[in-house]
Amino acid sequence: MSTKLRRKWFALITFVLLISLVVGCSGSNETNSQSQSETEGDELKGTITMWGWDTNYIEVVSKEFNKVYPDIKIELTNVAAEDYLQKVQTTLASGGELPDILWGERNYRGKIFELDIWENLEEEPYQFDKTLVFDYLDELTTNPKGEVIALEQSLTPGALAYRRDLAKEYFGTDDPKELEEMFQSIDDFIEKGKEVQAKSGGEVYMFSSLGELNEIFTAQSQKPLMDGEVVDVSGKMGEVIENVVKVRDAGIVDKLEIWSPQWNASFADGKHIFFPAANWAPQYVIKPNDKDGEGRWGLMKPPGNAYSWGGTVFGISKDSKEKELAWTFMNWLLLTKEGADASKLVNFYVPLKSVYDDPEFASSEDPFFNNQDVGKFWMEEIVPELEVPQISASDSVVKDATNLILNLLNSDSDVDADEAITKLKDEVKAKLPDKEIK
Amino acid sequence: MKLKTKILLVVAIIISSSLLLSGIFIYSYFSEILIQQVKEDESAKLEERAESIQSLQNDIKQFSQYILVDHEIQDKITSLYSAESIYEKILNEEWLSNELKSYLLLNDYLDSIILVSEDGNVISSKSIQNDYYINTLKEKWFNLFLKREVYSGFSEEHLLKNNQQEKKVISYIVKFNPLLNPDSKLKYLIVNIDTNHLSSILKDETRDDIFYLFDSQNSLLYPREHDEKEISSFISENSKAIKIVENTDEIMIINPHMEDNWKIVSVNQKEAILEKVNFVYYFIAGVTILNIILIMIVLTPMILNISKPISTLARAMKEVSKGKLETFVDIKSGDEFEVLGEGFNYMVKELQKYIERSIEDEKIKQRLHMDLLISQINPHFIYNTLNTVIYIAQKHGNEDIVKITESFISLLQDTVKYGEGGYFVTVEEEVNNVKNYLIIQNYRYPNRFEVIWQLDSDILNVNVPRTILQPLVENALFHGIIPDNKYGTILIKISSDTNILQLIVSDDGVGMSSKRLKEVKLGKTSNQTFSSMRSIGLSNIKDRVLSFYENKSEFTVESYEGVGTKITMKIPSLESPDFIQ
Repeated sequence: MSTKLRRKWFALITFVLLISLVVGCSGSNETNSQSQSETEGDELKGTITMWGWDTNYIEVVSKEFNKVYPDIKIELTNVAAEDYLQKVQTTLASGGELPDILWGERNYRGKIFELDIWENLEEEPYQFDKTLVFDYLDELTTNPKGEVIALEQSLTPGALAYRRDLAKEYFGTDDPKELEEMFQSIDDFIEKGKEVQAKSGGEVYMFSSLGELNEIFTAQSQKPLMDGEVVDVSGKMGEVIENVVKVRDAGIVDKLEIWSPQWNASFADGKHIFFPAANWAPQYVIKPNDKDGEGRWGLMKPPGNAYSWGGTVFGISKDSKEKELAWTFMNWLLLTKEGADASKLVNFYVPLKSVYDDPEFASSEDPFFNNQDVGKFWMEEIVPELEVPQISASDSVVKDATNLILNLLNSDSDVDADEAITKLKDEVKAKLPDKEIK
Repeated sequence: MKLKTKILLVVAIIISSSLLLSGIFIYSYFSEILIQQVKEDESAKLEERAESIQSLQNDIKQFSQYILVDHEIQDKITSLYSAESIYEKILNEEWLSNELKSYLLLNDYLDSIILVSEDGNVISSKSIQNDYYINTLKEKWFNLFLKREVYSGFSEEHLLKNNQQEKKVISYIVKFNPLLNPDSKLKYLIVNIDTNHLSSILKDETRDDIFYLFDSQNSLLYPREHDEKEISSFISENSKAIKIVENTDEIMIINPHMEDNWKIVSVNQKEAILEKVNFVYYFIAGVTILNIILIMIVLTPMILNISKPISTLARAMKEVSKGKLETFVDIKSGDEFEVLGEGFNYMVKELQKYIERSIEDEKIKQRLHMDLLISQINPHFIYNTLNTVIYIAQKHGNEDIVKITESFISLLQDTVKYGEGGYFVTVEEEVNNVKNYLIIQNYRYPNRFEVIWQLDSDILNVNVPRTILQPLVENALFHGIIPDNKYGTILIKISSDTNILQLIVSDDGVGMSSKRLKEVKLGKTSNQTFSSMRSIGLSNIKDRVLSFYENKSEFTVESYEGVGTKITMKIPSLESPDFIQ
């Protein structure tokens, strides 16, 4: 290379370097200013603690949350829903510290709401306006004093999930509308179930556990447990137990225990056709239990009225030191469009009415459900019909006692409905000695 | 290489090598200290971790003891097995399950509590999982524990399914001692500990240290993903002392101060530790460079100051060697160099003087040569003329003229000889010349003077410079005796003593005033002229004598006004006329 040429090259390279330096500098300035404007929640910093069972949900939404509030860390301690009340009680009794955000599962909510550990969200500084959310939730988020102390995590419309392959095999169709037509009452299930049993040589059941039926029937019963000061076990549970026993006696239900490892396995084993499903079930139960089940599932309305199953509320602990952060998180997640979008990632539908002004918001076709628009199904077919009974502190006692009775019904086929109801009433009476039980 | 470069280089080498040596020393010293420090720190840290793990283990142990000594639990187990109806059994199971759950919920890090009865049935804190737990007892971790044949201990890490999630747990297993309650159906109590909690105890996000936790079977409990083969070879023995294993790359500290032979190990890469000492390297390199720069800044002018006189001297010597003797150095350093410079200047000056004198001597020689040459030219013509005079005088019978003229011719002949015979003549010849001269002067100044000769007989063959005596005699006659109107005596004495020839010409004439004597000694000729002949003069004689014999000769003039003048010459009496060559 001649000296002249080399000099030219040198000059060119120097020039390019200078230019890139200038461009690089100005470029980094731009990104700086951009990131500054993005992080408006910069001043909020800290860790929110909570106890809960739905780790996947928290993982997904807190990742979205941290995009806006990068300095608020969310720390979840895993506590099962059925242990939650006990955990809170043990902690209170032993002088331990409650988390910043308290969870409340539907079945145990009445009891935990009675404890004076919640912040009133309608007061300063939260000033939650309950007209923003669906009206039926009022019953589910209010303590006995009439204060709104929690926000519902998601609407919890309940329905029936079914295996499309088995439906097609035994009922000739996997279309939800046709199936809804086919199954208009419990008797329809019993009749068809017997056929399925016969056809499969006793292999295939309509349902896998009595617990499932109990969940549906109890949720469909709009009768409140409390009849004034009296705990009306017969009124609330009588018909439920009778129906459960009727279905059991028909032999169309397997003897698995709901939530047990065997029950979890039944989603994939192809021996059980129907499962109760609320909006959280696909994410929390069906998909993880049937990992290869894409396209295998369908959703249909159950016979009888629509029901609301499960549901979790979030509230702020009175002793929390991070109330502002806790509210920031709850408000963002449950009362903003961004939070609604984050929740939708796990097929959860926040109770904020305004997001549904856009009819397309709810829309969500799920390949797991053979591209059925599950979003529209929940929001348009179930939610408008939803009603919930008044919850009470005795709900959890009755719930636990019912589990025992279901266990008994499962283990001893000689036990009939009358005996079961009597035993249920005795059990509730033993646990609530001060109350009058009907 | 120039002197200053040399000095600077030497200084730089000395400084950098000394700093480097001290650096190496410091480095090895500090690395030792640092490694020792790290060992101690690491040991203390390990002890801390071991203590927290041990306290966790103790908590779990104590917790298990509470459950085992719970009488209600024992009673319910018994009544479970003696239940009359299924419902009663279910109720008891439910009660036990709830009781276990109450215990469980006291600790966040516990996953589940399991009671295993003698018939292999299980009551757990999660009653819906009972069947699942029965199956897990067929797994390897439980069999391994049974093989250990201990009453209680921790299992290796294993998986538990909890709903859809899988969880890693360590089980603490206690065998129920039937001695206390022979009727009890209880066989084992198992407490499952969530290993995430162990991680949270061991994990320190602020540091990148890694601890390794091993259980009694030397299986790795923490961290989850790591190849532990290398370490496990060091922990095979079950001693209760802290062990430090060191190889070329790593320092391993093993602390077994935990229950059930658990061991916690820390591994430190020596390289990583020594990286911290590397700043010493950079520090020393920096200091070396800085020092060299500083020293150069300070030393360069100093060295230049020292080397400048040397180069000045060297330059001057070069000039001198080229022949420039007027070279002069001006060194005012106030030290030995100034002395050297002065010495140089002195030597050059002396050399110059010597050479100048040599030139002067050469000039004198040439002048003398000229003198002799000139005195050679005239005599030939005069000689011929004089022969004519003798011829005419003989013809007219004037013997006096003949005698004078013959003497004169002899005198002249001797002068002519001068050209052939060189500078030297024998004393005898010189005496004859003087005698011829005196014959002539006797005719001119009859009865005015007398000459007394005192000659040692053995000196007649000694060589002396030609025409050395005659001028002195002439001087004595014309400046001493003739100006006086008295009859005068001239004494000519030539004697020899131990190779020294002494020639004395003295007169009793007018003498010289002391002033005049001084002038004579300085070589000034007299204003008075008594002869038209070119006066050879005292100073000429003196110059010649000194020129021939240098300091081996002596020439003294003594004179007193009214008394007379005595001139003494001492010269080496040597036979050979050529000695001077």
